[in-house]
Amino acid sequence: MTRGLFQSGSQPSLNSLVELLARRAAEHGDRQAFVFLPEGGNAQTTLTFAELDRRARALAARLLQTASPGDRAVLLFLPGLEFVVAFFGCLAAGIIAVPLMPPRRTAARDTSAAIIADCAPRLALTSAEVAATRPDVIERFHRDLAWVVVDAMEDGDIPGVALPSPGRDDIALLQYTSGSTSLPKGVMVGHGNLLANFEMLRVALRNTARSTSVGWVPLYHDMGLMMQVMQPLYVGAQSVLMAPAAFMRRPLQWLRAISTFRAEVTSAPNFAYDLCVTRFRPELMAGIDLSSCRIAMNAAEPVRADTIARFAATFAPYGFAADAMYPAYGLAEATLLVSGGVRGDGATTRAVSRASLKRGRAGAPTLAGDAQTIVGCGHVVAGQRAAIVDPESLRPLPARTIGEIWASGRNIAQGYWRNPAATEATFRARIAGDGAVWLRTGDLGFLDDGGMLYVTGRIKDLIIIRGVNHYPEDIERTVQNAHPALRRDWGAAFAVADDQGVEKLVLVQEIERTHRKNLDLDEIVARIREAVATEHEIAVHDIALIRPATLPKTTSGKVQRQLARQLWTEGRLERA
Amino acid sequence: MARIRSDVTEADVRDWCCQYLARALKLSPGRIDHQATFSRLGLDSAESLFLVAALEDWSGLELASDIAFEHPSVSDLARYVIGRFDESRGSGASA
Repeated sequence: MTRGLFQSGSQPSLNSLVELLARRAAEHGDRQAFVFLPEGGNAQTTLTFAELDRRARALAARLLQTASPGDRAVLLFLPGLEFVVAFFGCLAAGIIAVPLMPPRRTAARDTSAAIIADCAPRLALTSAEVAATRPDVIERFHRDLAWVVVDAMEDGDIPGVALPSPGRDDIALLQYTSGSTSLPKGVMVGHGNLLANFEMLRVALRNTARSTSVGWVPLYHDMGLMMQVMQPLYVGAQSVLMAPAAFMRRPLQWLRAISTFRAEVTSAPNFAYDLCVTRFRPELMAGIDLSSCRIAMNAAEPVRADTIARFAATFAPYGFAADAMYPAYGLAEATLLVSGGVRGDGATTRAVSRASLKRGRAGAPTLAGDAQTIVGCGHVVAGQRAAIVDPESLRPLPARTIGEIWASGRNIAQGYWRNPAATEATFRARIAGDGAVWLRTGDLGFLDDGGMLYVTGRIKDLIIIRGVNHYPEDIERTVQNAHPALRRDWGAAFAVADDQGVEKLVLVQEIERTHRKNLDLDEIVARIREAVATEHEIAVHDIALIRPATLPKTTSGKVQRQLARQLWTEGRLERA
Repeated sequence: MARIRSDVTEADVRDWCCQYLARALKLSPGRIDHQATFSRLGLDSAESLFLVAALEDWSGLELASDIAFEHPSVSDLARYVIGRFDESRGSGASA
């Protein structure tokens, strides 16, 4: 094959994303790299590969006037192309990018302060829009951060500063999706990790420079950043970005954008596919043709068989091919992707016995009521290995046996920022008789006889709602701070599946003995709801206030969340 | 965009909001305090965007994503929406 305009094979000689962007700019600089679709009738904004390269380098030179390579910069942006310029500006300067979710106006305490304390950034990058409409964001953070306002649409002068050439081992970004609010953990993702995972993705998705993608997942989320910004650049494809709020308000606009841009690739957590079905109205679908979509990645939260079936049935009349549904599994510690399907195969489901799952096996169902349909998350992608390991004995387990999912490959990130103990425990695991270093994902699952990966649960009590990870300790602390009558360290937060199978938050919390008389329980419940909605953006499904000393704890005093969940499910809690 | 309603009162908007919230949050409409903040009622940020979308559909107005934060209770939001109706009538844009 000749290296033509649309040549988009592997990029083996690259050392960094900076070289990748320069190569894209040199090969087809005038082609549109990014499009942002604003809400309402405002005109869309665009960046070509050459514009992005030029503006990123101009910004890099500016940044190096106040910071040095290896310094950190937090990125606080509203949806738009400024983030993209800022991100590549950091990389071109050798400055480590730290994408952050802008804190909500009303949140008293959120994770961003702890992240800033953890990574000690020199710079904070933002846009004129944030400065004008959200001055509280700038107010909130240390005044000693140097703020830089990024304009995506203007070509700045390039000051005469020599830019560094990052190598494969240099850290490109810190991804802070792991760790609780009080103890955030920044995953150190190197240029080599990124390039390795994008090549794995390219082979798995078989996407090319013609494979336009459309997405609305926030760019501070690993799936948004990798699937909507960097992987399209890796293959030289156009990426069309929408604001997350635009999708939440008008989910079908996502499908309309796929149709308008003849997009081939999109990705979203499972809830998004459900939301499209819930909000489906034929009159809003006029003219939409989804036949261009060949990869609809479904990842970042448990993938559900009925979601896939309902989405495919609802949108088949609009050209959506059921075999485009692409369940996948990954995590920030693996850069993004661990496993994914074969393009064009669609989702694989398997009926397993609920009873055997509880015993750690994926046996065939014996009785009708015992069957549970689970979705396969594809095979481990080429270039990576996965193993199912007993989390206690650290021995590998045979097929159809549930254990912890471990992964190994050049995509596995370097560790957690300045946290050698957590890095050692999570990133440096060993299997007896195997020379490789393994990542412990903390997720539970099994491989079938053909090597298909099924994810069945989590070792930790992590709660995942709408693709966002929540740590129960954080939510429990918020609950206990909501009212003086609530006992410290005597509450449990956990997720339960509602009748649709969607994960919902349930809180069990003890009342202080001294406060039991004359309590307005409705008032306490309202305060808890308010605090949890404000601090964690979750609507609580149920709050059970219980009598003192009735919450199950271990003999060492640890809250037994799974047991509390079981008591709640069976209606056996001693409610106050 | 649907036609802008021109015949509703502030009480109608409050009733609509209470009906919507009752459905979304599985509460009885009579139990929703018009002065309580949406977050106190347990509305999270995603749910507040669904509220804005439904209110747009019902009212025919074009609304910003953050109005549920700017006008964070049933009574505040109803007052704001009525103000917007008055503006659109004043400008004759509702035809």
